[in-house]
Amino acid sequence: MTEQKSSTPILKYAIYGIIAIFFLFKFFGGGGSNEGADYVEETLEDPTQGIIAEIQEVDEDLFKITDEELIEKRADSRIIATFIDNSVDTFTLDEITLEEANNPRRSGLRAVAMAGMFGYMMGRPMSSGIARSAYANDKSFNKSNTSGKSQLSSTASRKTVRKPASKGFGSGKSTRSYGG
Amino acid sequence: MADRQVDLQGIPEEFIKENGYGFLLDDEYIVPEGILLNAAEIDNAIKVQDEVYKIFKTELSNLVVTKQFDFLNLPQKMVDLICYSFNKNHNHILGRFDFAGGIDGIPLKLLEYNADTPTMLPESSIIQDEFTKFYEEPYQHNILRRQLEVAFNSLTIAAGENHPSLLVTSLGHEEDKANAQLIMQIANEEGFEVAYADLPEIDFAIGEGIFVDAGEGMSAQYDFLYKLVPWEFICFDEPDLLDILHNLIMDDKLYVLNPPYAIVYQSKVFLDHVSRKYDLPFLLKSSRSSNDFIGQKYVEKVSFGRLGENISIYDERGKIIEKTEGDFGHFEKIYQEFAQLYKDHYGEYYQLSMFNVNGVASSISFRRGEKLIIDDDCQFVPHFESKIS
Repeated sequence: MTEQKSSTPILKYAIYGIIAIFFLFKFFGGGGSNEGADYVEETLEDPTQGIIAEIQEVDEDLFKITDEELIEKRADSRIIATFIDNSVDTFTLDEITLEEANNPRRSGLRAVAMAGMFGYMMGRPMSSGIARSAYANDKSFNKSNTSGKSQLSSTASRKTVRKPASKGFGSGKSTRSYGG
Repeated sequence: MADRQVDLQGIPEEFIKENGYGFLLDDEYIVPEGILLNAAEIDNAIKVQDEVYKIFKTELSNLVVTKQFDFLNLPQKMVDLICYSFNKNHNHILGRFDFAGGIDGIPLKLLEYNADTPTMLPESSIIQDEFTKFYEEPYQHNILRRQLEVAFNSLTIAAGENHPSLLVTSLGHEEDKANAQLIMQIANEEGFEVAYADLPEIDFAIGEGIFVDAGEGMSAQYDFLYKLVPWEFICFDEPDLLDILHNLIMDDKLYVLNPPYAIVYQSKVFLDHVSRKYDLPFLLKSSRSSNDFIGQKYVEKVSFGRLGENISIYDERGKIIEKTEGDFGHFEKIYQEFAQLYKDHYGEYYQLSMFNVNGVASSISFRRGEKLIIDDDCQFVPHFESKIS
């Protein structure tokens, strides 16, 4: 009896110890190489169709998109710019993407093109939206934002990529303002 | 001397509610009262803020050159980010100086600089502007919204071939989200694609960027991040996030507003650094030792305190005359000479705030309270320019 009494508590405490160590290990983030890993799974769309964008200089160095029309090939994309002095110039995709130092007019034109549907031709992800402020009016914005985007998306090529990412920073800290 | 507190014909209640800031009407935070400043006082506040900002920038520039950041007690990766963002001239888009005095002959004294996550943006810009309909002299120094429009517009141009997309984040508090809302509105008007996500909802991917779930298996990536999450929170509460941001910012995968170097301006230890080098009437003597204030009234603060928390005011005999508790007591203590606040005929104290956008003086506004420490329980008070002497 004496032997039994002394051996049972030792076994019991050993089991308790193992359980405690297991929970502590889990609590502090251990438990296998896959645990705690997070991924961003992104479906990337790449347009196959092209766009002819009509952009007008409505005020000095201030450009607005007046129309965007889809065409068959991406490489044939063009910007037809009408400047404030009524002169008209056409830019290919390569020309508009080219950085030109000390040319605010070109950078203004490029910034507006980038913010519109034409931006997808210039490498902007198709998951991002288009900016109303880049368009001359609601009609031209709505045309690109609804039927234009939808058609461009339906003919786009797709691939899914998986990237390791971390998420959940600052969880449980929302009870107070962190402003100053 | 004329009283500066004035009663207004009302408050722009409808405007506040329509714009989604109805909660600001709770607890009498906004009341139908204003405060008058004369043109000389406004000019002086602008001049002082310009001078202080210039000094801060010069001193930070010197630190970046000499790499003498030890006194700030920041992680090395944060120091890397400070130097990188300063050298790359990242925009310090929004800050707010808090001053004592500046009215009725009371000298203007810098209390602190909310350089990292300044709030009070809606009330100091668009709501204060709306208050001009409720007073006979509708003049204010308030170009805050316009200055932010210009700042975000120039950022869209600076974005170059990157698509101008801005993710705004906070830890979810109503007040911080209200400030985020106005930033998003302005950025969107200037051509940014904008979205909001609480910090825990953002995916931070090393070597890639920041992403938010856009539904249907898609993630949307953003190139700019405006955060209402303090840099010191990132440094000390979320060091893994600091590691990722270090990677993304230094590789130009992400542009963060306010930039990492704002933490230097924000730290009250920097106030001590600056006050030792410049003997100017608007800079309060500051120190890391209370022994430097024996026999005089002084204030104890912490290096990264917020919203008037963890502040003690001591009298000439070293006895506490006012004190606030708070969440920031673990940070280093800083001591500052006591400065007089303006007090109205009801016995309420006023603190002058000056917002700046990329260093430009953009809006004056006031908070007032019954106590010397202006904390989160105070009221917002719009200002008006008057011919008052």
